[in-house]
Amino acid sequence: MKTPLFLLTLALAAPALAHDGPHSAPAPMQVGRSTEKIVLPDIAVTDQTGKVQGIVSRYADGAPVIVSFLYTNCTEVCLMTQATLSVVDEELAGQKADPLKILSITVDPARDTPEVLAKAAADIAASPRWHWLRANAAETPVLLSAFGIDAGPIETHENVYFVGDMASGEFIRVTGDADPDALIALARAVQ
Amino acid sequence: MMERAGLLALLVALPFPCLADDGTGRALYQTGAGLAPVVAGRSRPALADRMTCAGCHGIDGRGGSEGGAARAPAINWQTLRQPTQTRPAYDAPSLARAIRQGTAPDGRLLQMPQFAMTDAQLEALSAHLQDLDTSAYQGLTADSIAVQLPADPAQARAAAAAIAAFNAEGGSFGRQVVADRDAFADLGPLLDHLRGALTGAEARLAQSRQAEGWQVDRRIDPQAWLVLRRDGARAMIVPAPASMIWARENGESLEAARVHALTTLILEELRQSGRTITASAFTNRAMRIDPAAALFVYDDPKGE
Repeated sequence: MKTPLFLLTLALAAPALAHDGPHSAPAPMQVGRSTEKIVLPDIAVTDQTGKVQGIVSRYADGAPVIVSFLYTNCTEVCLMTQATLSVVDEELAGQKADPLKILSITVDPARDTPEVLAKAAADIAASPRWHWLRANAAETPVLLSAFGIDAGPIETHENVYFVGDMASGEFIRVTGDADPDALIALARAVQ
Repeated sequence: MMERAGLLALLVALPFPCLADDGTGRALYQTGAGLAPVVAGRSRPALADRMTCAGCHGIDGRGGSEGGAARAPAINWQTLRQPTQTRPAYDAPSLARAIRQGTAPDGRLLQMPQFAMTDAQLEALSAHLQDLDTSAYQGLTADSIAVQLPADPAQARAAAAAIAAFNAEGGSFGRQVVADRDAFADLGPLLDHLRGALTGAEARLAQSRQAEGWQVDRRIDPQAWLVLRRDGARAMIVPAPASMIWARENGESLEAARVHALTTLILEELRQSGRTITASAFTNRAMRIDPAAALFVYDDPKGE
């Protein structure tokens, strides 16, 4: 990936701020300055339709992915994440050919069965490009720690997105309240 | 002096209309009342009943949040009307801007969804934020939950130890449990109730073993643990291992270990209840805890 990505993101985020007037501070969205190489084990994940496949092999075609984490019982941060991703999903609705995928991985495999995830996906009218994934209870902590996420109590997880592709394992980390357009722009720039 | 104090009170009271909430404000606060959150400029009606004020700021309005993530601030009345280092005091127009446009009085963008509330809804919500200062939410702050320890010293030591272990594991949604008189929950009556229920749970566990051919030893001390025997093997029904270890290491009694294990269950319930629960609702839930979860069957195949 090339460095101008970061500038591109800033340029995209700026117009969204303009109408808030001269006193506005920058949005709290933070984008990593470089890509991170994430070595992911090919852990089997089940999606909301019941399809089971290794998380690396399933996305080995190198299509851009936006990865996030959630648990469906959440009442706060991951709802912001879901709301943001639902805007991303909606913006891409008319573009069936776009290979971009949205991946939401549950941090609570005990309660978030594929059926629970299917209901959550349906409730938010997720399109087929939005995959709600669950690894088993033993492998979820392994998957989370590969992304550098603390596998502690479920309510302590962070609001974070990883934009990149599974084939190269190169990801940009985005934290805070992300702008949906900026996420799409980051994903589009994945080669 | 009287005159100045009266004037001051008037000035402090003035920025917000002071109305009684007829339930509209509470419904808005706790359930969203069907109002769709707006995220990144887009209305999200599918999340209307889930992205609520209470969801992030707590049903008590005392804020706090998921551990490592950004903290939702306290938004009860007294907090809003005080200026802080990062913002001036809120008034009615700036509260309206925060909710409708997502900007703080100092112009910062707030990390929260926006809501297209009407003026009437904003007034009702303001009234509920005032209610939060007083009612069923005592003992809660952004980073602590106060509980009252049992009066009995041995029970109090056991409960305090269980609380310390719970806090060491992160507490409940970033809140540490502390012992205080003006408490969210009173542990004494809860523990008395669960201690009574625990005897029944021990008996049921023993009965299920009896159905498998185990004999129950007769207890001379009614507080002793139940011992079961079958074919030279022995099994003991004891409090959860962590509680037994605590009691042994601290020279405490078996009874104290039981209180320790039951307190742990109450604290787990507190965490499970999340951040949208009132004191009375929590007490109701805690009374229905199944005490069997505090028990452990120690199997000793070789007997004595």
